[in-house]
Amino acid sequence: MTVDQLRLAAELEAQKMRESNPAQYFERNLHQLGFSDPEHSLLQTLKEMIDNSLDATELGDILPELRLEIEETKDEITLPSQTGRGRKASIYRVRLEDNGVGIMPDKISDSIGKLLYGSKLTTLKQSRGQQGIGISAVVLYSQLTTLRPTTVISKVSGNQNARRIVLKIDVDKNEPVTVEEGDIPSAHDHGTSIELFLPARYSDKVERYLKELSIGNPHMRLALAKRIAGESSELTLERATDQMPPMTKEIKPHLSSIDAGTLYRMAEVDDDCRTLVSFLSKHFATMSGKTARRILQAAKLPPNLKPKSIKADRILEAARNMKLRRPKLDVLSYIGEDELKSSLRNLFPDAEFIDAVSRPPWSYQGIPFRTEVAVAMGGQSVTNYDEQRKVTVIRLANKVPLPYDLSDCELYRAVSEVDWRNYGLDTGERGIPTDSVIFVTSIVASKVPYTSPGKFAVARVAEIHDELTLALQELGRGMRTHIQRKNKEESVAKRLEYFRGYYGILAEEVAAITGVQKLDYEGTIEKLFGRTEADA
Amino acid sequence: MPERSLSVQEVMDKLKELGSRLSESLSKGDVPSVEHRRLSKSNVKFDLNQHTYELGNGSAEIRGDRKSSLKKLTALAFLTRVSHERLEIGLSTTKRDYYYLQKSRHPLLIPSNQAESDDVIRVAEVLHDLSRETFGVVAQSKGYLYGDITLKEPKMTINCMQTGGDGYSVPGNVEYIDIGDSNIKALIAIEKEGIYRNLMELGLPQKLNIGVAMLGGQPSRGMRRMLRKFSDAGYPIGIWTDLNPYSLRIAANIIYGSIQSAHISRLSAPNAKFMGLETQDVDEFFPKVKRVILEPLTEEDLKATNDNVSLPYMQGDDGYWLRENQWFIDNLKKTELEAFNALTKHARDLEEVYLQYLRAKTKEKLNVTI
Repeated sequence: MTVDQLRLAAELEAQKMRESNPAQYFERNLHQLGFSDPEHSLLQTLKEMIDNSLDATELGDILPELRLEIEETKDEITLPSQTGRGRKASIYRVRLEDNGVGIMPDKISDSIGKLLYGSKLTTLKQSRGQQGIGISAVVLYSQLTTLRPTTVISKVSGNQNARRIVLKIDVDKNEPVTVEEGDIPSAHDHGTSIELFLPARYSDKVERYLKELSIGNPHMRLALAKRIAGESSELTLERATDQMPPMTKEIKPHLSSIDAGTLYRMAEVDDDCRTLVSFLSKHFATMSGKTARRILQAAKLPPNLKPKSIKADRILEAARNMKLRRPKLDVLSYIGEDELKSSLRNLFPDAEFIDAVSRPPWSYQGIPFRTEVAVAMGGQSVTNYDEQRKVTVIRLANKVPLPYDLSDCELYRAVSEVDWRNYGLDTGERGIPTDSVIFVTSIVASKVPYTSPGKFAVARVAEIHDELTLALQELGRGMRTHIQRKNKEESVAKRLEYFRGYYGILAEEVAAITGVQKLDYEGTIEKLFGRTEADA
Repeated sequence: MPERSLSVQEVMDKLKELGSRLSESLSKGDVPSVEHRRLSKSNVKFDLNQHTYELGNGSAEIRGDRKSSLKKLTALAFLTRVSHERLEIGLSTTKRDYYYLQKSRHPLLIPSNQAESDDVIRVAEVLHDLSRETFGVVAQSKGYLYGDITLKEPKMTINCMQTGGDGYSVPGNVEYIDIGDSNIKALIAIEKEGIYRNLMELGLPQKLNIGVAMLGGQPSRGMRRMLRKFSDAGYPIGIWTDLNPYSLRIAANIIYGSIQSAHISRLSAPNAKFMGLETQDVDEFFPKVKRVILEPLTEEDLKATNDNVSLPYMQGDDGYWLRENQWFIDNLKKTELEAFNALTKHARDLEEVYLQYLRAKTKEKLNVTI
């Protein structure tokens, strides 16, 4: 290629990049984002819809009341497959109604029908939808596969009526297209419902997902009405607590969590600060003017340098070599030990042992996070939870279950790397206990380090691994105490049964030798065991 | 003072006694337990003066408050009941029978193998101080008796020359058999069948007024008990075996008993004497055919010889046994009772050969002239 040709190629690529809007990007990459197969698509759809609803209730400090409908319609479509023959999939109707604050009528179309860039450049906040593809992507998927629009009904408090909008997305423009719009009466003061259609497949995973979601959100009440293959059934997950979770706080990023590119862009868009010192102290956590000056000194930059002339690499290196204060940590909304225990008790009423450990907040790369773990052991409901595995690890990232990519996930690996034999459990392959146990591992963070954009698994970060391990070890100590006590009780009961068995025969034999009808041996049993339950 | 055999009723009373003891414990709400002399090998001693194996002072307890011994205690009660019941109607039991009985009594009593139920029988023996035959658990029968011997069985009286066949077949349980009027000067216990039959065929027991017993290798418990009865009744007993290291053990088993049955004193006949073949017989009786009759010692024979050295009884009798045993190590040879045939040119010679040997040996070893 000539110089001109090379330049032309670069220019064409740049043009393409400009032309590519989020809707087009998602259209091309849906499979990476969880829409790879009908089962996964349904879970991903539920996730996005429920995330939205929970966020909407938390905004109004409302205890979430969700009503979910999943219905397999009679329609089928053929999805493209790698073999080229296509796969048949049923079209499902999914509707979720919440009691959140609602969406202002004039914002409904944009908030549902327009895919947005994540604009959280300068602030961090723990949220379910962080990096999320959002409800709009689901709307887009629905439209691309079924060609049907999405119906949104939302009412905000104080309005007379609810607004009903039927919409589609114009992919080329990344704009919502309203198909129908109008006001309808509503029995509720506030709330939103979204109804859409998609090719899907219902499996046990859906119910498990909802149950796991309820563990992460013990204040949520969710009623599921489903109609699959003509069979209707209902499931209600009651809330385990009436307490709202602690509010999350928006925080500034920590200098150690920022890469050079982000730092350059932040300096680029800043129009207020005249010097680097004020720029750093304004935008970053734990950054006083004094600290900023020390960093600039170490980076050999003058403190009054304009933000636009920033040398990001040198500042970050200087910051790394300096011990910066940790960020404020109490900014996270965690689940809580008592809430975890109540949730597990709700789901596993006959569990023999339930416990939870919540670690204090900590940080990695300047990002606050907090790990929590819980366990449910023994009992039929625990054994039956997932018939495919004896040990279930329920993974929650910012209170949202992660149903995929188990073995790549730190929330699973931390469990498998604990030597559970030390805590009285029998372990089998890969260090996973062989007793029936359900673990919950949770991380809440201003930014969860996922392994991929699909947000299926948490990446290994040393600080998170250590915190999880400490939490699991503490949990394990409680488990060991329980197991030991149980073994002891069992052994007393077994011993009694054993002795009764032999004494019964002994008494019969002795009676036969001595020629009496019957010989009582309970006195001897009592002497050996004290008064037993049978006597009482 | 020869011990008097117990009657069936006496044995049944003894069994019942254990039942009463256990019954009393249970009625009082006490924890039953049974103490007995410990049966382990380490508790077996060889008394060099008495010339018998016997149990030491070690004791063992089968306790009803120990998970580990509860099964044995229960099985012991079961065996006691079964024995009592079977004695009452005159039914004998083998160890294997008892194994099946215990197996089927209750799942909790199922023995993991026959060794476990055999052990219960051994405990019962030491506990009641009775051989198992006494309470009806009999051993396999082996061996014969021939000669002018009268035996009083519970149901009939028999003379051992009038049984036909190979003589009186010694049953598994001889406990309730008494020796009646017998016209014998001595009883010769012979290891092998061939020579025993020859003696019968030659009419030597009648001519010499002796009894003969055919052991058939290591004697059965019934035969050992029988020999003890003869010993107790004052009959001199001579033991006549092959010349090899195992034969020493057969003789010792009769005279001293064995480690396994150390807890049952009535299975040994301490007055019995080893008559031959002994090492000096080779030069004395077989000088001309010495080369022919001596066979090489096998590896196994040599091993048995070496093992013999450390056996307790070997140390007694002024070193007689050790000297006999040493001969095998020095010569690496052995021979058998059949060697007498090498001394004959004609069938008619055999009687004289036997007569010569028996007369010399009973005189020397038993001080009996025949």
